[in-house]
Amino acid sequence: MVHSRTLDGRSLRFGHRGWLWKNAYINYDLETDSLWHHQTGWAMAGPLRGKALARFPTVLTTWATWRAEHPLTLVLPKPRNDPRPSDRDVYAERNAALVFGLGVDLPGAFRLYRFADLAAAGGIVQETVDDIPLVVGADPEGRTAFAFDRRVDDAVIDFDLDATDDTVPLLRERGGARAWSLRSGRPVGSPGTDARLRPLQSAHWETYAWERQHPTGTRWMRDSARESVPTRGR
Amino acid sequence: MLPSPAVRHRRLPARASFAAALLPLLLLILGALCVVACGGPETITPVARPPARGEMPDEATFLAELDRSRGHRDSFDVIRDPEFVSADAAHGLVADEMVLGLDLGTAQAAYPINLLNFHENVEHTLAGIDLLVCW
Repeated sequence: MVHSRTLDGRSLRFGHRGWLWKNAYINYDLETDSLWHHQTGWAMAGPLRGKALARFPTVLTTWATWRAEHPLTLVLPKPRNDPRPSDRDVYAERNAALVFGLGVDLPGAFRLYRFADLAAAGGIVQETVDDIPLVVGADPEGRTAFAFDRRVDDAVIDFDLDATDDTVPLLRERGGARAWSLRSGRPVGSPGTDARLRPLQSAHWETYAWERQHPTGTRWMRDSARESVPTRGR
Repeated sequence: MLPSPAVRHRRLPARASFAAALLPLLLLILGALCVVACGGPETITPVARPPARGEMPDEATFLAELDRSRGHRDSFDVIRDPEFVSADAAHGLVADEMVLGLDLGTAQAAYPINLLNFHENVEHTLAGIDLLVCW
């Protein structure tokens, strides 16, 4: 996740505190030594307790996918002489045993969509949470998902996931001619609109850690009788 | 002494000089309006989402629940104000390697996860915005 470091008109500087709270790392700011939750951006203790850093939507995806969508992207370069192995994911083996999903943060709710549940639902879930009509689409590559607000030009769109070309998965307007890139929310050959889908604040979470961090959150579960039923998680 | 006729003809009248000086600015404004009207890159606005009632423990509880055994202050060295490179200049990245992607509308950045694993945090400025990247 990416936060704006500007708070109440000043830019803060942060360090890593090295401590964990319910599996989440804690940062500190150099100005007040307040303790900050590294994912929510909430100040949990200290003089700035209760403050929240503003967050930008981000995605976790492959380099090839990102570069194709954003050819002018800048890149944080890997150091050439660092002995640490940045050519592989050192946590891959640990992560293979865990269950991950996409946690979506809404103004009045937290919602988790496990990747396995998304796949079982055909790769796409549409529902209204916290009065926000949203769509969550799984990337055909299977390693990530994207969440958007379904409102375009003041109308709520119903989507179908079009992954016939898995290099350009699309969210197609059901009953219409418009389509948007699943990976960026940008319109693709859409007549009559240049409106981009608004990305929702989301992040990859290990399921157990998400549930510990979000005691008021709910997890999407597919109901056998209905397409989707909001159900409280553990 | 009066200037020669050649010199007199090279001098523009005052009003024309003013217009000539103003023209680049007018073109710039017109160009900006065109970008806006034609849908130039939108700027993504960050959203602060403060904790609602019940979403954050009281401070004493939080401090009591901290696990202080797994590291110390600055266990991870934060990357501060690095020099970013273009996609073409990015070495050591392979196609199926995971990156954290940020799209500000007017600028985009990718942070390789294999690198973030060792640093957890990156601080830098992009498109004039001071950022904290957390992994």
